[in-house]
Amino acid sequence: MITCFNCNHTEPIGALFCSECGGNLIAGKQTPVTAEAKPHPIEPTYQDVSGPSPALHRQISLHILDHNKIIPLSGRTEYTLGRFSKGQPIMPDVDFTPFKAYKSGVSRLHASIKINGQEVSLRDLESTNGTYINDQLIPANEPHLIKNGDIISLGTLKIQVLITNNDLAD
Amino acid sequence: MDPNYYARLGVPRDATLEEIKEAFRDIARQLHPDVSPDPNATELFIKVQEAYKVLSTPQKRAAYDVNLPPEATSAPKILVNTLYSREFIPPLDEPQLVYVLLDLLPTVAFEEREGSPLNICLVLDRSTSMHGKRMDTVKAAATEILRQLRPQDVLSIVTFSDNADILLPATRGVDINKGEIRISMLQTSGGTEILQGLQAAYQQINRYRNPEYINYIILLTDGHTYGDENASLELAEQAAQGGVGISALGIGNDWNDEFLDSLASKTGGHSLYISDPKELKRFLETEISGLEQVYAEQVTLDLDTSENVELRYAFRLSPEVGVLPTTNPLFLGSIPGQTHLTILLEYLISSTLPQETRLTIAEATLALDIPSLSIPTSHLKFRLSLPIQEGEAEKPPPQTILLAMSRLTLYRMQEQARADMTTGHLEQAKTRLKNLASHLSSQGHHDLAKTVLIEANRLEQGKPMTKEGEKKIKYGTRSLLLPATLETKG
Repeated sequence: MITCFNCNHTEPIGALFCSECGGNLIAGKQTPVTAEAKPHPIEPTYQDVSGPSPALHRQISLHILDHNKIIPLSGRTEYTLGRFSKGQPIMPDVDFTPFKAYKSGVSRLHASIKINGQEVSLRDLESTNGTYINDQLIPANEPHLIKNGDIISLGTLKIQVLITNNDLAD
Repeated sequence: MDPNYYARLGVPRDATLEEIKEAFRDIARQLHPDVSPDPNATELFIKVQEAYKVLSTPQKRAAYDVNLPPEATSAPKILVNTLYSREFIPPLDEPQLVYVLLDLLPTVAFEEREGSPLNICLVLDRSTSMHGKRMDTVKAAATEILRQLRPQDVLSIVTFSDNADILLPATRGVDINKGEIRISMLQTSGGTEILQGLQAAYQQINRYRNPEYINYIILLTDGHTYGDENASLELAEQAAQGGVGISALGIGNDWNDEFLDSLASKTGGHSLYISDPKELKRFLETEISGLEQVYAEQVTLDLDTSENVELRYAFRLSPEVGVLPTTNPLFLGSIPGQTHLTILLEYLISSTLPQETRLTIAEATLALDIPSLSIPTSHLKFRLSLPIQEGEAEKPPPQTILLAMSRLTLYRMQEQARADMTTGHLEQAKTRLKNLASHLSSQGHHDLAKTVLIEANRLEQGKPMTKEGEKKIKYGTRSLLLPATLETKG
């Protein structure tokens, strides 16, 4: 039997998706292969946006792959990612506590995402377990460009970055 | 050339005596001079009888076969690709799942002009609820079909409410003006008795029914039929046996989707949801041009499944999408000249595996009819099997299967949610819908996700789902499986 990580429903071995909650049952073993994780189901119009265009406003969302949750980011140009912990004055902009952050090795202040015009970059904030872009470890305190569809990992927590622009979203 | 007795009976050269008898009985039922109104039937029947006399007597058949030119049979020019979700099956003390994707494609170049003549019957609902705009669009769409047909095509139009009327008897090369006048006379009144309409349509189809035609019934309705569902399904089964396909188009929100889905799928046909009558014309046109491009039809897959294996779910992914009944054989409809016929099968393997190195999942026999060839094609036999071996899977399942399953899971979630509701498990239905909504929005299908959420909220308030919502969700999630959306690049 396979137990769904998301809802604890059991499925026979060989099942690919949980019939109960629709969660991907093999994502844990291999690189995430949900339809969501593949770059192509994302509207191609997003990728067609090339070159600077002042009229476009960037919208960034974080897709927590194993939990199938999407967190839209808005209102700032920089976001800290991490885990809230009691009695600590540090409060990340995006708190991954509901996604088993502690178990996945997410530091309290793990990384930050910065939006600068058309560019979006990720910086590791000297985290304990490291930050990865598409399974490549990035050195601490250095900004690294990320693009739509990239999968970043904070420790073992896998997150897909979705970059769209508001003008085309509707 | 010698008379081709096999072609007359519509059987392949490797047909068994049983199949020959069956084919003869089937033809006799429609062509017998006592039954058929067609003046040509008697002559045809005598020819068929002659063929049967030879082929049903083993000595005569052998003598006939000796003199047959070798090219008189033809292997179907179809390529069968099988893709498994797993590379092998480890022996385990518990049941396991395997997904098999079957992909059939013609290996000959298909040109549109080769398309076989159509023998189609439009079955139009003229119940009171169709009154007004709906009927106007139906009339306009039917007229459009009239124009779209080629001179070699046969068309009949049947209308039904409490009873059925033949608006246009089966005619080859219908005169457009005459047809238009007939269509314009269409009036609404009465209820929706689908069986009546289907029976009349089947009769019209039978007047020209012939393996060289694409024989097809297109049913258009906006309502529920009451009490005659089972008889209608039986008729659909009979139609499937006789090589007649049925597609069902539901207009608006009040028709019974479960009924129309199973009606169509019994023949390998499909159902469509038309929320806006304005779309009707486009749907009908696509339907007809699809039929004009059929390369092989009446594709049936006989799956002789092994003892320790059970077919749990079958779904067609292309050219049309929809659940296939898991009865044996599977009626798969047709293979278009330019696209593939793709189906996905879910097998449950029991914990007791045979003491062998390979597990046979099923022995498959694929039968099909290629209308453009006057010679019946022989059956294609192949085996679905996987090695039995210890160990952990190394490779992830093929992308195509994963992608199809990720979408199919969503379709099945709504199916399950509706099943939950019928069994009174409202809480489960609600949770499932909410999960479905979050998956949909994460894949960018925001409108559909919204519809799902609205229905989930209704359940929360103790209200049932709306009929519109049910259909939008069902056919919305189903449309995610359309080949265009599924295509993987690399």
